[in-house]
Amino acid sequence: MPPNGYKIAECLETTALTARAKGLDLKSMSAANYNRYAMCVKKEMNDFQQQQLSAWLPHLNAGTVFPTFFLMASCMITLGVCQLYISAQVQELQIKYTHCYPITGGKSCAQTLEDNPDSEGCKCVLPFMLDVPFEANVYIYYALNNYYQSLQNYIYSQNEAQLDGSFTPTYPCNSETQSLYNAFASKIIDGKEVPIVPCGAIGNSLFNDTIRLVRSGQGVPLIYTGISWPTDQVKFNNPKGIPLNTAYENYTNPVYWRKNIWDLDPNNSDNNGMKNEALIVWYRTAAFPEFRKFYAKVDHKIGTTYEKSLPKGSYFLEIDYNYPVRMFGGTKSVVISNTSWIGGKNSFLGFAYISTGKVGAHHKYTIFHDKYIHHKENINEIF
Amino acid sequence: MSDTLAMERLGEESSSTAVNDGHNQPKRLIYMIGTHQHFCDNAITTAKYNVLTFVPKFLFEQFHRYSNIFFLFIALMQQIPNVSPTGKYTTALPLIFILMVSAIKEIFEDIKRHKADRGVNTTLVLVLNKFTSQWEWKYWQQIRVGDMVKITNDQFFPSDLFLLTSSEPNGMCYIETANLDGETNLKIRHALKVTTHCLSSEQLVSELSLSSIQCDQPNRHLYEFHGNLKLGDSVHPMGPENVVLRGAKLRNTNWIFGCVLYTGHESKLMMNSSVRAPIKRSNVEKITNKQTILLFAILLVICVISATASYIWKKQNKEHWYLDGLEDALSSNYFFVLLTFIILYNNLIPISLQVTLEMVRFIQASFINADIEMYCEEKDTPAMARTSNLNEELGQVKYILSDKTGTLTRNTVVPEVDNNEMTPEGKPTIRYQGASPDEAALVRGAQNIGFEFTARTPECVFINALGTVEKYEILNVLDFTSDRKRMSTIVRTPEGKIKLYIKGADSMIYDRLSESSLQEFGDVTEQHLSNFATEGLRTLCCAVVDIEDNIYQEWNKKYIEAQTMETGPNGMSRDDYINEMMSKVEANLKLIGSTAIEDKLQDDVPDTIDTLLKAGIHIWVLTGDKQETAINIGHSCKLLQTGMLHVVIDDDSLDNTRESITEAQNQIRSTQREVALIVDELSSSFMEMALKCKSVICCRVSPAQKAEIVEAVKKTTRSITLAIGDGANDVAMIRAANVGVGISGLEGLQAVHSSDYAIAQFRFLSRLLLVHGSWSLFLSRLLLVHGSWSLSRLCKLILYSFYKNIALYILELWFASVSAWSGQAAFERWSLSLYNVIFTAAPPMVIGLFDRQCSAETMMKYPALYKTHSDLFNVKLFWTWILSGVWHSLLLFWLTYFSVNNDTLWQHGRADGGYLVFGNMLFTYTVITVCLKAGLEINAWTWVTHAAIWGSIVMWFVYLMIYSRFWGLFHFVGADMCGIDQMIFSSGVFWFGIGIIPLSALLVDISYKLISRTCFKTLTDEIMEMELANSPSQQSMLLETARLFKNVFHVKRDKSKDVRRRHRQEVELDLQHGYAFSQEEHGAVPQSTLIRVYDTTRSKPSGI
Repeated sequence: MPPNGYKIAECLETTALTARAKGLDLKSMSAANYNRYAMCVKKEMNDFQQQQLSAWLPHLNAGTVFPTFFLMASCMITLGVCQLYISAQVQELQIKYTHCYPITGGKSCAQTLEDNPDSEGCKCVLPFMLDVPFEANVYIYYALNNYYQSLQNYIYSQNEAQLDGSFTPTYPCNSETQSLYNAFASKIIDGKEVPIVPCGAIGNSLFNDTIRLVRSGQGVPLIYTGISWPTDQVKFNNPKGIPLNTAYENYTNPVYWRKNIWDLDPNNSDNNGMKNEALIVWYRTAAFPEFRKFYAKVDHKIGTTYEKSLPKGSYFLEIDYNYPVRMFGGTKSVVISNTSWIGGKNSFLGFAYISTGKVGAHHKYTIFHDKYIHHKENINEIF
Repeated sequence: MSDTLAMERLGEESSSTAVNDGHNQPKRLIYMIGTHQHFCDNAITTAKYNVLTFVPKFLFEQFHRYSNIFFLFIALMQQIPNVSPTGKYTTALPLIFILMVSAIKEIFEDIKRHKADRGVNTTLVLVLNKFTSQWEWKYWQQIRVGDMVKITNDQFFPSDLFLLTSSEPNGMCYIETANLDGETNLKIRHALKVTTHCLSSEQLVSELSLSSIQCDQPNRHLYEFHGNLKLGDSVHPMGPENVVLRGAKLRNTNWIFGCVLYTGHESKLMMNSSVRAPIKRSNVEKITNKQTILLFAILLVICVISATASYIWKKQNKEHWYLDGLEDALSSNYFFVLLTFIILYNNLIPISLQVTLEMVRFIQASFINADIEMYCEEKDTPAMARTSNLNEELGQVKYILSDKTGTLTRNTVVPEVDNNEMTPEGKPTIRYQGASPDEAALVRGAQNIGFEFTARTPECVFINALGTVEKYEILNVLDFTSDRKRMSTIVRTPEGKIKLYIKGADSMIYDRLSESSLQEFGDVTEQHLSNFATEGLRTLCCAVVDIEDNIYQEWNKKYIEAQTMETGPNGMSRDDYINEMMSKVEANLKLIGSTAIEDKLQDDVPDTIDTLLKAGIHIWVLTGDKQETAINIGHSCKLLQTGMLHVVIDDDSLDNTRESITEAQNQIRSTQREVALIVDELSSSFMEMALKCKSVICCRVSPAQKAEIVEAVKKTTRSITLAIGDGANDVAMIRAANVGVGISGLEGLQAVHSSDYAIAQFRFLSRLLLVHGSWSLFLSRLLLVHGSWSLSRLCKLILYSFYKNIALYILELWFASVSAWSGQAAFERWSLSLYNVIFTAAPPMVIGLFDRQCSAETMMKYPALYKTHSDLFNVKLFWTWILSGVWHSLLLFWLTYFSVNNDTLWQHGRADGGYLVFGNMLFTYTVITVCLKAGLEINAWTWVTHAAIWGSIVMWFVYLMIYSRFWGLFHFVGADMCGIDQMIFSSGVFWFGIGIIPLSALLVDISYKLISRTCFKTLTDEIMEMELANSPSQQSMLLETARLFKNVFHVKRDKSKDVRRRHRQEVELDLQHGYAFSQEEHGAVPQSTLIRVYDTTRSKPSGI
């Protein structure tokens, strides 16, 4: 039976009857018989099944495509120029301080830290000039190089529940796999295994340099909140209803930490524990070994010097140097930058647009140039 | 050329083996009164699976594919703790899903086969109940060895039967064996004398209840049977002439009684067909399998590189204090890391390819089923794809091996003379049916002008000549043999004169004409004959001679003497002597006239063959029929053309054949012309020669030999063969070929049940190949490939599937290079495993289903387009796509990398969205690029295509939005992805990137396509452009190209106008003059006997 065979047969029957009623000779119709049949069937069967769907046949060749191509190329060049312009508006200053020396002189902070990992209070002061005022809003970032946050074992070395304010999963740190990802899950103190909060390699390696901007002997006011993603903040919670130091009294800090989890931000009690935004930022692990992380915003409070901008002039960068990177060839720097609506300073996409546009426009010449050389020979080959 | 010649036909070859069978195995003993439950039952099955075998067989078939084995391995490896970067079930679940889809498809297809089998098995037949002596209706499958059955006219025999008696004299019956050996003429079988008198069920029970049959064990030899009937104390030998076989049909006989000898799969027909339908896999699939291995090798290389890099990195970067403690003995083990990378990159081999292929094929098959252009109105049968695994094979067929009867020609039914029958009105009508249709036509014609053939008795025939009944006495019947190519009857007319009427091949009759007759009619008739012959008709000449009474008496005495002699005089054999005697009397003939019959071809056969030849397909005709008939059909269907050199190999002996083959080879070598080879009886060593010929006709080949030829062609040429046939005799061939096509529409046709595709008539073949084949294997233009433009839908689909996985997973390699080779995926794990299942599942489907370069009409119009399919799936193409994937991943990754380089992607100043913001941006660009790449390769954009390509992209965005909100809804699910959509969509960099990154990745593809379509046009491009252009000037160009085609592909034929042509024409003419004898040569009952057994004045028994 053909698809919908009964209906077709019915349809045929009707057609035949109509023909007879009209006095038409069925024999003489037999030449058209096939069409009559096909007509009947096509009512029942759709173009989809018959592979008769009407189709747009884009035949890409020089003639059909050039106008489009040209148009697109010019659009792209325009967009590229726009992007470059926007990017050029962004002001950015990067100050490297990996190898900085303390004001007191002597060994570099990096060296001091390598010689005695527990040493504290190595302070660097780096002067810098702003030739033009940096328009608001100005943001402070720290940038690390040759630092791998995207290692598989590193990324998984955390405990979501613990970060969410739960006490229960204390050891192992990551339940997904038993043996790995469990570094820094606990410490032995007085022969007792004490769980670490926050456990895991990410928490352990929290960036702990302190960065201050000083202008005319006064610290530039900085805001340390609003630097993390709201969507991340919901994932980080402190234990509810208990003061932090009580809540975590049976826990200990990660090995490399110098502060307790409850006073990560001494000036803002809400910005502590799991809710500390620097911690939340750090937990959003970077994709590449060169990355920037939000450190703080300049407070552009109305009525202050900083209302409109970070004014031009000379500044000092004061660093509490605690984070060792030199030993593995890493670098640290501070980035002071404002943004455009497409983010920070990066003209790469602009150049990409312009060069793609240029290549597109260039094709016209190339193809027409080649066309008459090869076309005729080739036709001969085919036949 | 091989030195060994295997020239025997199956039947003859069997004699030695059959004897062996007899010696080695005990004979089968059948008691006629008993039923023999221990023999195989009569149910047959052609289905692949049953309930029990499904699971193991299906799994075996599935894990034949390397890719499935690989994914099973990956799924198992993922269960090892710590090793998998993508969780435990990201491979297992898709794999199970894919296997389920395949399983459902297989079950669906096999159920159809089961239904067909059930239809055959539940046909009803009358079986004798030996206790009540009543005939009872039973299903075929209930028949047991030893049962007695009654078969009525036009019924198929349910199993191999020993003929006990029939309604005809001497227990004779006529059978049509077209299904078995392809011969259209009826054959006669007769019962043993001792059983012919049992004309009722009571008699059967009472007289035969103590008898038994001893016969051969079941074997596959159609023409061989040895047995003994033990009836009381006497033993009667049985031969093949006493047996009727399953697959044959009873004709012109009211009924027969038979005793079941072999049932079901033990019947000779089923023994001839391979027992189980083989599981065919297409060439493309085999190549895909190979390329999968290649991809696996690439995968391993990448993994080794990554693992080594990881090892080195770890060695050199011990100072990264923040990573301390993240390694243990196991994870720093090289092979463990290697395994991690294998799991990370495993989808470099596309997991969804097989299931996409199967779904596409399945739908393609449904397109074939639904195609109105392949629907045969006459038979109310659509084309049917019985398996969908072979669609793409249709686009690459190089050799078509066709059966003749029922395939090229209509199944002409040639019945014998029947007796008078009274219609209910009481008005006598006479049905005349001759052994050959022209005889019947002559008799009917004579009746119309007043000479009516009314009755016959063993001695005489009665003719009502214009009202007066005349009685002609039959004196002698001089039999037909293929040597004599003639047959004659000596009669005594009512006036007492003796006349010899003769009919035969024109060459034979002309040699024996009298001078006067030759002068009088010779030229005119010869003119007619050659006219007939050029039309491909089979001709016969009729002549008469008066014989003096005394001469006749003298001759008759010698003739009778000759028949009883042991050997002829002068060292002649008896047969030769009889022939000489016959020739003596068949002389001085007076020509009466000539007749011509046409073996009616199926609709449009010559056109189809012409089209197929133009498409570069070789056509071989394999038939069980006679050489003359075959050549004749060859001419009428334009397979043999006048310009061709015909080489006929028809020698009897081994040596002669070898000689003529060598001779023919020289001939072929020296000729410029197209060669047609006609082989009578098969030699296995003719292949080399045959492959050089344009067309080949093999005559008198058995079913098994047909299959052997197919196998040989497959093996020697390594190209795709297609076998087409309608009968049970074609089953073996259909199964052996890469693609088997059965002709459907007639009842009880075994061929259809074993075929891969069933079509109603031959003429639809060309559409099946050119349209569906081509649309399955569609021509295409491909960027980055120099010269080769043809690519099939499926090949494109496969290559595209490879491409899209390469494009995505090589990204992981680049990411590994910036993430310390840790095996971390740049993407979220479920996004990654849904890539193949959701985000890029549709584009390959639309490529596989809706892409087309030219319309069906164009494909039909330019068969030469078909030729360009042959080198589709080559290594170059494969690498081009692979490199395209690598190139795209390279651009995608590094462009995105540099775009997000400063990490501040938002105005609000937040930096570093983390690896997942980068990963998801990259994933977005990749999905867009990969979908657009599909769009670039698609030649016809239907609304489905639009939906698939834009829909896939939209799907990713929707997924991203939904998945990013999971965390709030379900605790801890999708924590990584929480809020990612807002991060990405709020970034200006992302939107700037979307405008340029996919485009720059595709820029090379677009440019290449442009340049090659403008400057290096292929045949397909030209035709495509023509199709696109509607202006009149463009149309004239079209015609011009059409003419160009014609010139190109006919150029060979023009060369054939060489000098030797005239010389050969005579030989050819002789070959073309087929003659129209349909009598069975050396049959079970000679014609002379046959003519005498009938007495139409007596009524026949009813056989209750």
